[in-house]
Amino acid sequence: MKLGKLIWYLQRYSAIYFLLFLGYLVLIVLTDRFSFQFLTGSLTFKLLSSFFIILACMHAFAGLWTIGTDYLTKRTLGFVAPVLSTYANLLRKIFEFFFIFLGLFLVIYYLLIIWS
Amino acid sequence: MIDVNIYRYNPETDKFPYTQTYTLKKPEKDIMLLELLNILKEQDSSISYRRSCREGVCGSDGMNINGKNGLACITPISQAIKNNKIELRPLPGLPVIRDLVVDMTEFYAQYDKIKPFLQNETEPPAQERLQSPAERDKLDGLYECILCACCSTSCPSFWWNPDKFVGPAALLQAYRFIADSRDTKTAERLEGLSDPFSVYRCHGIMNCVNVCPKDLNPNHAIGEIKSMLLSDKKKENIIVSDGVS
Repeated sequence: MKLGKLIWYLQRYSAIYFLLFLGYLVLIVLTDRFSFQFLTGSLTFKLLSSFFIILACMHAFAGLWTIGTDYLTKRTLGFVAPVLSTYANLLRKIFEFFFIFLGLFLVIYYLLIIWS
Repeated sequence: MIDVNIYRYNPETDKFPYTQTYTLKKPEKDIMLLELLNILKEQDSSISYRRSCREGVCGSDGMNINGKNGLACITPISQAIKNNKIELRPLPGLPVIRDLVVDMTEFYAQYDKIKPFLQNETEPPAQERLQSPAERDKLDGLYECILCACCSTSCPSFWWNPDKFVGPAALLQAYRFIADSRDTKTAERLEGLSDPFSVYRCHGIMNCVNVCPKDLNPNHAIGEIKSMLLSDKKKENIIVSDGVS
């Protein structure tokens, strides 16, 4: 699958999943099952929420990558200050790596909490 | 009296661009903005702008009129004037050569990228490649583009990535050939637009539709291209929609 198509589908299908997961959470609350014991004990919740956190990070990164390639470029940073334009590619890489590491940290941290 | 504020910049003499205000008597007739510029040019011959056909066909005099892109030759001053002021700036996002004249190299490079000509590898017929009236109808709302660049230069995605995002004008033309029953290179054309930037950077904010002086709908054409890229929609299934026809 082409990258453009892959990103497009990733963002749309993940957004649908978020809505469904939100519905699932509302259902848990409405049926009075919302407790830490339930959240850490239910295999269904563990699986669905793990999938949610992974998709959320991928969805967010796709959006942030778009923002980075729009606003952290030689052209756009050059409007702010010419000196920033020189470091545009470096700044964008730092921006992208920061959110990659933040996403990975959140995913791993969440999986450790929910599965250990 | 009306004030006409014009963006001025001559790279040979000016370090920075500035706005020059010209005050003149409001014309009795509701003349077009281009005529107003011609009157001003008689006062100050250093004002630079492009113009040619003076009837909205050549697309030369695209400029930013009170914050909205348009053609000076078909914009009456009654429509442009706000609080007895008219603000004229060059098309946004493109490098300024001088005053209201912009360098359109990036715009034409994107137009060139979509191969804006009919491609058909089959043996040419004796006279011409024929189309049915229904096939011809699919091109309405697409072929009329005059490449004035009003749409592309009102698009933030084109401002940020003019070298990667094809832009509404060129995408409208890309779809014009994709939708053409005589063109046989649909797959190749779509392949050339399948990266994350060329088409997918359009977020559908519809500035292009809002400013098009020919009342065309590039956003609809882009939507059709996206639809074809995302699905297995075949060329023969292209229908004429209200948005384009």
